[in-house]
Amino acid sequence: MKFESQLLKGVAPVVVLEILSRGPMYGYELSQAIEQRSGDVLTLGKGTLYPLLYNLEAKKLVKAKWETSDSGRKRRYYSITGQGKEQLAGQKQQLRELSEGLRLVFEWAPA
Amino acid sequence: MKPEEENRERHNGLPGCVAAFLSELIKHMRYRRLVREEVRAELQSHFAEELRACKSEQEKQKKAEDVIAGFGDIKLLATLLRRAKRRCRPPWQTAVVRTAQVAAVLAVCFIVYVIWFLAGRPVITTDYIAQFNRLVRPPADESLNAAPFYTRAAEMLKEPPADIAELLKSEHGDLSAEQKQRLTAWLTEKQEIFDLVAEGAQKPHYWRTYEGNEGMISVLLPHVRSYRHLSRALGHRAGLLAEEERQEDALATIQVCYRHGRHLRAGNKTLVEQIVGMTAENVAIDAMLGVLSGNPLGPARLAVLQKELEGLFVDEDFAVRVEGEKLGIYDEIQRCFTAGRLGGEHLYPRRLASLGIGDGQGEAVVFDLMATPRHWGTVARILFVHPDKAQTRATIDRAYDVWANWLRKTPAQLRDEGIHINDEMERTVKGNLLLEIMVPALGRVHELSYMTKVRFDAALAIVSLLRYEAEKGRYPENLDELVAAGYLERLPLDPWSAAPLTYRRTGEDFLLYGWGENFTDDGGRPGTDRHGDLKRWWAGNGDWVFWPVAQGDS
Repeated sequence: MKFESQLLKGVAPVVVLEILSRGPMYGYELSQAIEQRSGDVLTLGKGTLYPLLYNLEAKKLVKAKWETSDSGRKRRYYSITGQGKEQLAGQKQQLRELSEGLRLVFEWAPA
Repeated sequence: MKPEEENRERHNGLPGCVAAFLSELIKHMRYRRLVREEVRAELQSHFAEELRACKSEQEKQKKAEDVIAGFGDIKLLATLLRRAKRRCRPPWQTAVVRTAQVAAVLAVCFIVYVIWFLAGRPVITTDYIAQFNRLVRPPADESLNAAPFYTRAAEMLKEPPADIAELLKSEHGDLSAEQKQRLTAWLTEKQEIFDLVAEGAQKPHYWRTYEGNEGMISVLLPHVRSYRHLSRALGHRAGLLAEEERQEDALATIQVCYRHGRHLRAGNKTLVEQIVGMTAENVAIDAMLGVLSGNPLGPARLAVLQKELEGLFVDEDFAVRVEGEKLGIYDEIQRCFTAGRLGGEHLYPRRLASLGIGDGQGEAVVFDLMATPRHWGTVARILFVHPDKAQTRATIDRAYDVWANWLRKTPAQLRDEGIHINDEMERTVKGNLLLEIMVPALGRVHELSYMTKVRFDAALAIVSLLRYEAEKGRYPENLDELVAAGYLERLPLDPWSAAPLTYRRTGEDFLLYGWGENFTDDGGRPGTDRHGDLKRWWAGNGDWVFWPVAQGDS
């Protein structure tokens, strides 16, 4: 499903932080994880992913480190920071409240 | 793409379109090379992961093209990557970069400003020398002008021999008999010159035509030294004539000396001329008192002398005139500041160099100064904060109005008002390089003018006291008695005490003195120099004694 880009823009950072909170990942791995874990509902374009990661890095919500894999390939792994975890918790709470509010609106029926 | 880059990509097993894409992306990023290479490496790794499952080159190529398409617009991506990486920069690095950017902008602005600054040129719009000549010229025919006589006399005198010049500088009473003989011989030889001066002194007016090729500051005063020599020579001549008991000839010579001095001093003249004039007048007064001291005159002759003196300088305006100096500064303002339009109305370094700032010429002055760290303050002043032409002109207009008023006050009045002329002037012009150079030290000139006035007033009082004694056989108890008896029109004021000169009878003689520049009544004790020798004027530690004339004085 193709979502409005504006809708995705707001949730992209929290999605990335949530996935990284489960463990460090490199860019390609992260883009695959977003698709798989959202059941292909959410897709983050490559042109959005890396700028987003660098912005999160600038805000010190994630940190990055080069590592060499077993196959000898060098990858830049991203992991969430303490500050990132706090930010994630706050944003997840807001999204839950937003989701609950939307549900109430959609399910409302006149008496 | 560079061949080495293409090779690198192929070595990684990635298609050429990936290498081309990454090269284009990195080129558009326009950021630090290390950061761009890191981004390139990361995206290379991404492509490698994306293409890992492809089995054939064709498949790889297709997949690579899809991934490249997925990245979207390359320029937009490059911009987003650059902005994001810039935010990753540590704050100190951001501060350094911003500072360097600001410094670069300021440097460019500075260079442009200096070019603009140096582009301006002054424009001479007013001939202030002509204006000054119109100011000094009275409405009189040239035949009534003493200047040609004085000029010819000065040209004939030239520079006296060194030994004669030394004698002329000495006090007449300090000369030995042999020295007086040499001086007499020289004076006799120069008789024609003194006759010229005497002829000029009879003229009612004196004015000269000032000339200069670089404005008022270049106005030539070619005979100032000669005029000094002339007045000293006349003073000695009067002394020698008095010693020969030729009092009338001596008094006539003194009158010539005084008139010559007054011609130079009175009216709108340059400060230098006024000072030389005052010096000549003081020489004349000293010589007259010397004559009277050694050669008593009868009451009738004293009455005539008093009348002559009153005719000469009672109600005379001794205040220093500064109109000429003001015109000189106006002239320099138009020469030292650029005209409007290109380059504004700011200080012009080339002219300042000719006035003595810096060692170079013109624009080099600014660059010479810039090369020397201790002059950077001066450079900054010249380039950025120095008052412009209008502000300088306004400063000088305001200042001269105030200073002209001060010059008419006595030293005692200024002291009571807490005004120190030189300090105040310095404070007024501080910060303006041109005015700091141009403005004369009026403090001393002011004192000299009042010293000249008090000596004249004292001389008049002395003549009237001598007349009183000659007629009544004694000196009066006080100066009030002298005025009450009609021998003197009014009490002589002491400009340094704001009271009349101090007088008291001393047996068969009298003492008449002023407090002098220390504003203190030292009881008539004259000043001394640092060796303890008598120093009648400007010693700062005694009174100015007008009578009796000190031993060894003319």
